[in-house]
Amino acid sequence: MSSESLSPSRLANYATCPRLYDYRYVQGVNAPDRTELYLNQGTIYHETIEDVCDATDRDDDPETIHNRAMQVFDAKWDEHSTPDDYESAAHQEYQRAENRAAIASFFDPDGGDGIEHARYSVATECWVECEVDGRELHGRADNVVRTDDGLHIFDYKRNTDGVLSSGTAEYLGDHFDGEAHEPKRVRNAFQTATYVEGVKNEPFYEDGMEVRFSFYGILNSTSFESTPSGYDVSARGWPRETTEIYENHYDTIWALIREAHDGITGETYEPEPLDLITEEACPDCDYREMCADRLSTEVHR
Amino acid sequence: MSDESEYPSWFPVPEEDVSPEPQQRTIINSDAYPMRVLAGAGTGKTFTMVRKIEHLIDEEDVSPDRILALTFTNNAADSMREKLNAKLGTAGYDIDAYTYHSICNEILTDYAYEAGIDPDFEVATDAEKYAIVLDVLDDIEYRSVKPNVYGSDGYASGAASKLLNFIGSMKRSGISPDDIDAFLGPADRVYDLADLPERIEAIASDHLGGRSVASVLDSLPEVRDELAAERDGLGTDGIEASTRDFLDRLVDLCDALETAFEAHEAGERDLPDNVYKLPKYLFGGYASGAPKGIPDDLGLELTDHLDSFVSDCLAARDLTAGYAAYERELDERNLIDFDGLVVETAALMDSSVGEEIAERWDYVFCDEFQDTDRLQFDLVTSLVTDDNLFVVGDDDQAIYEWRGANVANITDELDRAFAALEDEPLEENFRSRQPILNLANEAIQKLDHRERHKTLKRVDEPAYDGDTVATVELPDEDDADGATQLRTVVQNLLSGAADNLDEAYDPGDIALLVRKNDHATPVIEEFEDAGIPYQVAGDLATESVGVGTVTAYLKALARPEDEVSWNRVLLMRYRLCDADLRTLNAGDDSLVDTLRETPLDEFEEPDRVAEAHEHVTELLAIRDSASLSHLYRELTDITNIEWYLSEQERRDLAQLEDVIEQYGDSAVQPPLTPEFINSLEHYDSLFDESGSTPTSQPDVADDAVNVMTIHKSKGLDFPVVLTPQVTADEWAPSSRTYDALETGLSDGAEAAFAEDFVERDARETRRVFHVGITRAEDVLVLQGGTEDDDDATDVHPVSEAVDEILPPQIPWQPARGQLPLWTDVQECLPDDAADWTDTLANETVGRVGGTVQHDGDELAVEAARDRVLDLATATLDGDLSPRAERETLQVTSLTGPSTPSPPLSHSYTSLAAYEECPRSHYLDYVVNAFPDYQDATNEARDGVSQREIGLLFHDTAEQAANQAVERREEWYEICERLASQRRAEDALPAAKQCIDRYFELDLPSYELIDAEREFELDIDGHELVGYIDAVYRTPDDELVVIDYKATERHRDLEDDKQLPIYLLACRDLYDEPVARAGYAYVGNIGPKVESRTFSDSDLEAVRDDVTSSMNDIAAFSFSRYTSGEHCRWCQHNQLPCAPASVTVGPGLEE
Repeated sequence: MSSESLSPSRLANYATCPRLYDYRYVQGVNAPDRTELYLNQGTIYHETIEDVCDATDRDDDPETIHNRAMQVFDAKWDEHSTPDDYESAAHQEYQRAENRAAIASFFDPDGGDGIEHARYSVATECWVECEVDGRELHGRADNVVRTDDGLHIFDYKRNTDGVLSSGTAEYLGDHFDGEAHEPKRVRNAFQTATYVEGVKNEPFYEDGMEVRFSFYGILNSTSFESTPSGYDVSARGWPRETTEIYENHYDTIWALIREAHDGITGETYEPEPLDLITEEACPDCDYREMCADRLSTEVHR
Repeated sequence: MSDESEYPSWFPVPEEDVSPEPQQRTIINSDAYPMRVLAGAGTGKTFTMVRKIEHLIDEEDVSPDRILALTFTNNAADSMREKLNAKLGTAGYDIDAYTYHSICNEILTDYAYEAGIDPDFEVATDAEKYAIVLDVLDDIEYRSVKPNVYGSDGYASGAASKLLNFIGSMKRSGISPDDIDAFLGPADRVYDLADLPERIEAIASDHLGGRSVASVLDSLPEVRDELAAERDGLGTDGIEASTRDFLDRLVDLCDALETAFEAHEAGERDLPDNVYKLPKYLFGGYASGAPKGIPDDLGLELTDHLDSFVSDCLAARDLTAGYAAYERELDERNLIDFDGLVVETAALMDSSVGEEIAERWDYVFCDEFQDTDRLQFDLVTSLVTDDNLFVVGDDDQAIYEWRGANVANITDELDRAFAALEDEPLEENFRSRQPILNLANEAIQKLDHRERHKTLKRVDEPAYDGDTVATVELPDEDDADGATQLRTVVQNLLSGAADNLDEAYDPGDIALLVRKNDHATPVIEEFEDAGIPYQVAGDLATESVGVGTVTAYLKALARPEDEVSWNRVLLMRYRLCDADLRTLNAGDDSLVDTLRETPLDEFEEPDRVAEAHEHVTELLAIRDSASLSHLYRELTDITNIEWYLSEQERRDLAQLEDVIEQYGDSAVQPPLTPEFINSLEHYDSLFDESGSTPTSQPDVADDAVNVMTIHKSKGLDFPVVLTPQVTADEWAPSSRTYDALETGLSDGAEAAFAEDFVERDARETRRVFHVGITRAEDVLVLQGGTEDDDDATDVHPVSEAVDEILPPQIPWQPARGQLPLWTDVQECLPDDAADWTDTLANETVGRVGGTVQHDGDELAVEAARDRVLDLATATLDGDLSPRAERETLQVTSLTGPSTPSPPLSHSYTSLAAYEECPRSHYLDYVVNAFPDYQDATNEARDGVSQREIGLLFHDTAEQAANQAVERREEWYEICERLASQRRAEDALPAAKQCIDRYFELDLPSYELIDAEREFELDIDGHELVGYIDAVYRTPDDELVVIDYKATERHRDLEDDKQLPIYLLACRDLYDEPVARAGYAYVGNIGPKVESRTFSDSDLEAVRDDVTSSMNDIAAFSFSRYTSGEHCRWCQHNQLPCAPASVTVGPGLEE
């Protein structure tokens, strides 16, 4: 058994398509960046939340936390957002307004989730490691929050559309059986497993603590209101918890992890099942234009 | 030479010298002006127009330069000029034949000063327009328009494409940013109206909730009063006037409802159950659509119309500033866009010089007049002096209303503008078989509001034994696109074996004409699968693997950090193996650096890597200095990439080449940039419309099934037409963004709600169908079906009641937007129509695609393909056993008896090739075989090819003749321009020497009668085609045929066949006899002209000789060949027939 430690994101890449993993991580083929601006926006709200959580004490009042967040956001925006990412200044300004509204809502002094996330944060950007069945995993948790009964880990995202839910958890088994292709939900399951298990190895974990994991979509809902003098945007976020799904589908999730882990360490990159992958994964793949596996099916036709 | 010139759209039959039919003759000889000819499809309307122009010049002594002829496409203008020239000699070129846009370009160039523009202006290309739109995005005042340039679905819904569409809609109707500003007023005014639809809905909801006719009747007066109060609070101009008019209509509706309900209560009128819900429904009072008892498909929540108008106005309020900035930016860059040409010219014609410009012409002839927009109408009327106007068009073929065309131009507007207008009909059709016309005639009768009624009648119908109109019922399954049915139909048409067919058709005879592009996609996939060649008009073919590889090469050169594209190129062009690709991808260096720096001995296949290295280095070196087209040509030359493409992929490449040629249409084309790659990536989403204007006509393939939208097929015809997915859903009419706003702006504020745009679109859809049907000559195949509920003929009683109650002020009717096209087709089918659903659309008759013998098996094509792949794999794996499987593959069509023969067209060149080597003729002219792979680096690329010099000289001579240019310097100019266009500067000095030699001859002083004259001879059933370089009239009044020779080879006139063939052709082309022909040597062995006369018996001897050659060729075969010196230049000299001395490549074992 190899002792290579892998991240959920690598495992998920492999679950999407082994050849994709080969191109991206093994051969390191550079694909042109198409969505630089969303990447930068992600950095901005992640770093804003991180900085606010780190700077906040349990008894800071909500107004202070809110003002701090807005200040940090403005500085982060100036640091990371560049006009080159946008076709127009208006587009950049619109995106700024949207992200700013999301941060303002998250750290809303009147009941914003971020106030509690900041006050009770025990670690941000927390590096975690674990080993199950001889497979080593690692990851970086955005925020670990102390709750009455234990710890709650949060992964902040733009939105939680399509994230694993109790209604879609059964697809994990279908993916394992090769009956469906669900790499995004598989990825969510990998993340949940890694963080839930990993955090148990951290010094702040105490036996008997309850460990929960949630994705948090800070831009889950945005609205655009048009007025005679311009437009207003507002945004709102909420969490999606996957702890229970992890518990209920524990065996399937670990079987999926073992499969991907062993595939990577065993250096097998043949895309299987090819039909499903061609249909589901190829259309959005950065490497589709160079992929011999896909091109061979096209040329054969 | 484009394909159209062979079968120009306006020419009823391709033979020369057809006499006009009686209806046509009446029009041609008439002196009546202004005259309007409403001419049905295929009636030879342009033919008639051209003959009428001839008549004016020949019989009425009108000077050609006093005649202006206008049409829509460059192809049409060119072929008109050619035909006039063919008939009238050089005088034909003096006629001003223009497109509606190019005449504007011409006038603006001549009168730039008066128009207040820079005379050096250029016409903006699509790419330039897109670049400007991106630059002015920050000028948009974002309130209701979201500033995203792209969203989850790419650019299509982003701000840039919104602005582009908005500018297009407005500018086509001649609406300026100032007009929109005046109409809308300040933002506050528009926003005040934004809540109005909701307020009306609230009024309805508050007052009209009664549960009986009586109680609702009681409330109607209050509703009326509140609506009237809303109305009276509005101003009387612009957007407020439109809204006021809308409310007025609602008030009228209140009155009508009141009258109907009163009659019901008085027992004078019977109304159906639930009708009391109707008022609340009509005024949008139900929050969630039609309530129980009101049919769902009624589609009459009237506040929706106001709502969409207001939201268009809100968007317009934001975008107008962007539009204004776009106009400023065009001006700044000295550009005028296509629509702007007409806008500027119309303004100029309105000024004091307008009259002077109009006086340049005595007669104005207009083709396709139904497609003109309002501005073009004004332009035409301002160009007409003394009422000398002749207009042809067909209101039944008006299919560009949605792009701003004004159908009324050819009917009411002309009536209004010219009181003395004479009408002549043209209904005799020369194109389609009568059953097709019967269907067209019947189906168009379903068109409401049809102004003039024409009935198409075929004249001189040739004998035909087969089905003409066929229907194919779509399969029952949900979502079935029926693509396999059409694949089977096409296979049957190509084999021609079925009894229902008169003959076998070539792929180029068949057209797949679709309502929308989506309909073509599944059929194309089937064509791919079946190996049926096809060509999609104006499509970038981004899905084509071959195009993808070529595009990837450009992407990689533009952005060398794009390693995905490099990998694609290395895999698909250089065929690098996995191990070598891994070597290149390994390490931290960029792939290009690794490719350049890694020692070759580290690769498994160093030759391939070396070739890639060499090409990439060479191309990157010229990337920044070469123009895009030049780089592209170098790319294809150096890498020989086309050799790696299939025939279909090469065809697919054509559109990309067009886009590259057109990129940056200024004097100096920019080099390849990442921006160009971006514009390619957004090409489909942004410029989808650019192919669908009446001004662009696609090139037609003669060796592949032509796939295009019906809009693009306008003016073309095909022996066989297939139209898929004729169903109510797929052909459903729709309204379009800015419809009401645009109408309010052009026809006055009160016009915004005067018409139902969906109904207008439904009428246009019927005309689109009519155009599609009338493209067919022999066979029309319609595939369609009905949904189950389409058949439900019972009209809901509420719908019926609404129909009766709605006052004329309400233009919207119940169940608007339902177009039961397939049901109509069934009703209109001629008696002899055939249903192919279970026959030709279900299974192939006879063997399609032939068979291959191998190893004792007779294999169908697909099985044979698999067998070849298996054998190839076995070779690679070293598993091929020396005996059994090594038997030759016997392809019947190559080695066996030659039936059925593919249709052959002979030319002098092909006959000469046959005499040299039957096999090379067979490969090049019969089966169109690929040339052998030629290693570009081995090719002697130094020195200029004689062929290139000759081509340059010939084309210069042709253009000089077309432009009636007679001075040597002017010939030089043409030659220089051509050389630079085709990057043939190397050949320029030699070509100029040829020009010098030409001017030393007597020829330039002779009268030039004809140049590059195309001919088509029928000899004993064989078709012999070609071009005659020139026909001159000597000072002794003798006609002489001249063939220019820029080469060094001398021809023996005694033993010559080329010239006699030309003289035979001249018998058909000219009224006077032509007996003399010769060669004009302008190459090194010139200058000299050698000519002789040929007697009739000389010609007959050659005719017999050629006939026997052509008969021999009919029994062609691959097996016969002659090897010799010519093998050196043969495209197939890697075959074993070539002597060892000339075999360049590895050679193929037989």
